[in-house]
Amino acid sequence: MSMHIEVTGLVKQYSLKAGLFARSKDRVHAVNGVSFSIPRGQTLGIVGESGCGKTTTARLLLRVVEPDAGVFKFEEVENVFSLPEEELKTVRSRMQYIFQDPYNSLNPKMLVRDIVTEPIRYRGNYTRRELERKAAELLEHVGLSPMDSRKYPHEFSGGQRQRISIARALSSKPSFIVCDEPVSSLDVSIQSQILNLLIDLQKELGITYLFIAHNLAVVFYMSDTMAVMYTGKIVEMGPSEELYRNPLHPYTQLLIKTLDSEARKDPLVKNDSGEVPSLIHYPTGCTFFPRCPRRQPNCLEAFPPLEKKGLEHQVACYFASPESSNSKAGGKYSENLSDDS
Amino acid sequence: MNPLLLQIENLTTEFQTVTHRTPAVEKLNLTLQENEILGVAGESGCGKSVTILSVLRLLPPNGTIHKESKILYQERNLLQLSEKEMNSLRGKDLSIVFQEPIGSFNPLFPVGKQIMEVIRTHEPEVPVKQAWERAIELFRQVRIPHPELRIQDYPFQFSGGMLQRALIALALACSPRILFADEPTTALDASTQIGILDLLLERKEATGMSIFFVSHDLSLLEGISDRICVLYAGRMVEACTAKELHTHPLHPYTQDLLEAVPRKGTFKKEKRLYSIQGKVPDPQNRPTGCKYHPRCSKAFDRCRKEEPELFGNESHLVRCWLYVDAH
Repeated sequence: MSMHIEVTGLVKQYSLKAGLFARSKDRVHAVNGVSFSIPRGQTLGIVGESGCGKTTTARLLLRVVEPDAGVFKFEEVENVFSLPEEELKTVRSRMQYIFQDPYNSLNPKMLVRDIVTEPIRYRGNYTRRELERKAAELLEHVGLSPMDSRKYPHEFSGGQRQRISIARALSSKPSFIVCDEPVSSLDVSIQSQILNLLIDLQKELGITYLFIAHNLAVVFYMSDTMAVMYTGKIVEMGPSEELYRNPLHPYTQLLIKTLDSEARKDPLVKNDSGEVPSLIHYPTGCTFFPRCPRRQPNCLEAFPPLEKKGLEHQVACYFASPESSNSKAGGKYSENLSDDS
Repeated sequence: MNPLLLQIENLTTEFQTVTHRTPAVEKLNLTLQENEILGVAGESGCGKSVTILSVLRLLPPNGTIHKESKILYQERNLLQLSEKEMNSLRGKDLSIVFQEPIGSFNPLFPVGKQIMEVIRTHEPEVPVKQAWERAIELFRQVRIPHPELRIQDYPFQFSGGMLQRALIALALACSPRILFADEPTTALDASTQIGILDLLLERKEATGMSIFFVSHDLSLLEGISDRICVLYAGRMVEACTAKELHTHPLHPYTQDLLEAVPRKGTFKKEKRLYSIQGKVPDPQNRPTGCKYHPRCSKAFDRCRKEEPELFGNESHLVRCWLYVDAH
């Protein structure tokens, strides 16, 4: 299968300010060598807790933030990251972003028709009338009325606003859309409407999605492939059904247990500290070590590489196994450690 | 059954806007027993938060509670207490945890100082040093690592989950009888969420307090509550034990809410999500008859004309004409 999107070795570090002018040598390791690919018309879901680099990854792809290293092959472009500004503009119109908060991502002083057509206004030579017709089409496409084009964003509810931002994303006919927590700020009943709309659009237009959310059940539902991120690295990746039925990394297993009210009573979930290591003094070994039920001393030597475990299933763990059967093995060791952690 | 701790009777709360009086909660009857977790569910605009604010009497100036309404706590009607009496209850017997921990703290003071302030307000006889130690102990109870160091930190130095723990410590400072939790985990990550829920359950067992837990996530409520009450358009539409709701949700709204969320282990290839059509009715313009009928797939003629009462018995109440025979 040919890949629509291929990302290799994506890295981003932010430098910290030490004083007013001085820059500190310390750096926040936000994204540390992330690689993935998505076939055309499919969805890659990224899950992970806040601060694990999900959003940074998405922003890097659209070059809202410039990456430190990495290659991003997109359609016929060999590396989007090395394109000069002028050429980037044309490529960018094929990539769009849907933001989490439909209240802050729409300019309150602009009419809906101007918001929706803004991405194309300066690109083609459209007349005013053409833009108006285009806005009406786009709004109908996302389930709003063409009459809505002369209203302001404040006249709409959260779900309708999210439809407006989807219409805006669609205007430049993108082939790739990043959905960054598109339903997190919406009500349950509205969430399903937006998710269904995104699925329908994908089927109709063959759009590739990068789908980010912290609600695990939603990501499982939406994605063809899923990547689990932790401290800026992908720790497990595979087809979403495979990942749900047969998670191999202890972090993925922990996440999946949180879906179920019975499994939540599992001592592994209950005693989980949830403490993430500092991303400034990035540890050499496995970053999940302090929380891991299977940890062994040699986990601290180097971060485990992402290895194939099955056809499309990759895991970064030295002790990857279906269930935490050997959780007892690490027990004694973890008790000693938890005192000084 | 445990003795009753809080009784909300006939609560109607209205908001005065420039042109209209808008009812946010109408004729709500709710009880909370001792050492119980009551889950309150519903979409935004259903009156969940307004109920909490009414009980604590923290409504904005344009909000009024009807004269017939009664909120009984320890045989006292909270609505008739003076502001001073109310102040002595708030933060002591009745405390609240909001959704946004960052907005609940003053950013200019260390968290420990703010916890101490609550303790010293309600128990002025406690010396400063002892209050400080109590604050550290509270931090330890909510499992914040290195409590004696973190207690001096300012709110911005905490992560979201840790600050939510600190907020719970603040709410627990004076051993409340009832903890009102308004979507306390919605803003948190999945793995952090579980930690906070566990913490609340553990503190409930340890102190014997009751929790009034508001959330829009029914599946989350099913996991932790003893009883659940579902609100729609300011009314109670269903109330029963959490177990009963899990196995036999009766009201079409409850069923739809459960259908609309992707359950664990469902994938888009297998099943299309159910979407509830339309939205919560505008409170100034609520439909006649059953308030849910325009969105309900099972609505029939009677639903459009008459509003159903609560049918069923004490153990399972439901406001729907489908269950009129069970009355």
